[in-house]
Amino acid sequence: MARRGFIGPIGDDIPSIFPIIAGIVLFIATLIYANNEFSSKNDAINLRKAGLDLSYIVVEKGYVNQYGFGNTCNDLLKPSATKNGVYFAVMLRDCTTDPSESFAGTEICSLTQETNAEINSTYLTEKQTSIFNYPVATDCVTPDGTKEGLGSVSIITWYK
Amino acid sequence: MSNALRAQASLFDGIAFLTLVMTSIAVIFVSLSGYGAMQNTIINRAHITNYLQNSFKTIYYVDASTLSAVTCNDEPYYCDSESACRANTNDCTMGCDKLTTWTGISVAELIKRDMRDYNQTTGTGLDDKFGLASAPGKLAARCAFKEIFQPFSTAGYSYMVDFKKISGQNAVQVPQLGTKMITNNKDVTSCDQTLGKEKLVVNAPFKVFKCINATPPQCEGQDFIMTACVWPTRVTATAAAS
Repeated sequence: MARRGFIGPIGDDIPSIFPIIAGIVLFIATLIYANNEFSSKNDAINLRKAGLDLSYIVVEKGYVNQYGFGNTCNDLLKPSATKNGVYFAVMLRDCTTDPSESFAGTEICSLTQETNAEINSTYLTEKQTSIFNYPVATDCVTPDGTKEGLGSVSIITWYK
Repeated sequence: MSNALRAQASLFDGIAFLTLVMTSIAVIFVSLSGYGAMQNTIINRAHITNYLQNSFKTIYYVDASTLSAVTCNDEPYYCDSESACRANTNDCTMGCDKLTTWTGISVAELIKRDMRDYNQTTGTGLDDKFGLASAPGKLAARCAFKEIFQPFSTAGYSYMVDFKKISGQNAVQVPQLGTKMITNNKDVTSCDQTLGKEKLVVNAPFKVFKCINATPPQCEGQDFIMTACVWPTRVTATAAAS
């Protein structure tokens, strides 16, 4: 005996297919979005952690000299940045640097993707950066000669 | 079962599934919004702690005379006379220009010279004097830490630097004589005060040698603790002073 109203095993569920498909699409889209967001947040956190690692090395002594930083740069900073997979620049500001100017100062150590890249605001604007600033003692040229004055270092890290 | 009932039943299954999906999505979004906040807080606090520790190292190198150009920057609290400064901003002087002649001596050394005559009984501590001689350690500290903590002051944080003398199991705060202390917040007198749960404190040993005239000269090291603390006040230094 033919069952009345029976359309078929799939046909019977046709009305529910639309909400089910919508649910699956929404769920998958949410998973993709969440995955991207988690990755993005993890990247930002790792970038900041890498910057913090570098900053511990840079301010180790509380005194940073433009000309005496080569060994620290090559032996400690660059390996640390390579291990964390980031690029970086350490900018030293002395007593004469205008504090209102962004990314000003003398670049005393860097690891960049390009050879001899000039680290300035134009270069860094295109990248996701993390910046840590610390006060340091540094050589300052005064009318009475060179003295140890108050300066600052900026440790800037970024990915490719 | 009629077609209408059959369709209604399957539609209910679909809606129930959709509800389940929406609940899962809500849970995912809630987790997502909170994710990373704790890590960021920890990194921020690590950065500030490192900053405070670094400020202690820095003052051991900075020549006191290089701070002679530090000014109030129109922030009356720092000025010698707040009222004069409020009345006429051209009259804002902090006194850092007095450090011009202190060439070849670091800020930390000047503070130690100032504290060398510390006497717990008489209360002489950071008073810009060593005996009767001038030793502007407190002034140098005020000028140095004003500059060092400028980014924090601008961002709405308060800071305080104080010193304590170790005496057995106790630590007694060294008085900072005068109306101005090493802080940008006039309501605070010590880092030991309750200053909110976001307060960060860093301590460092600060040894001061004191010699007395004798044959042979006798020197003893006095153990102090240098403490710096910062906490958010949500008011910038400039706004608080006005």
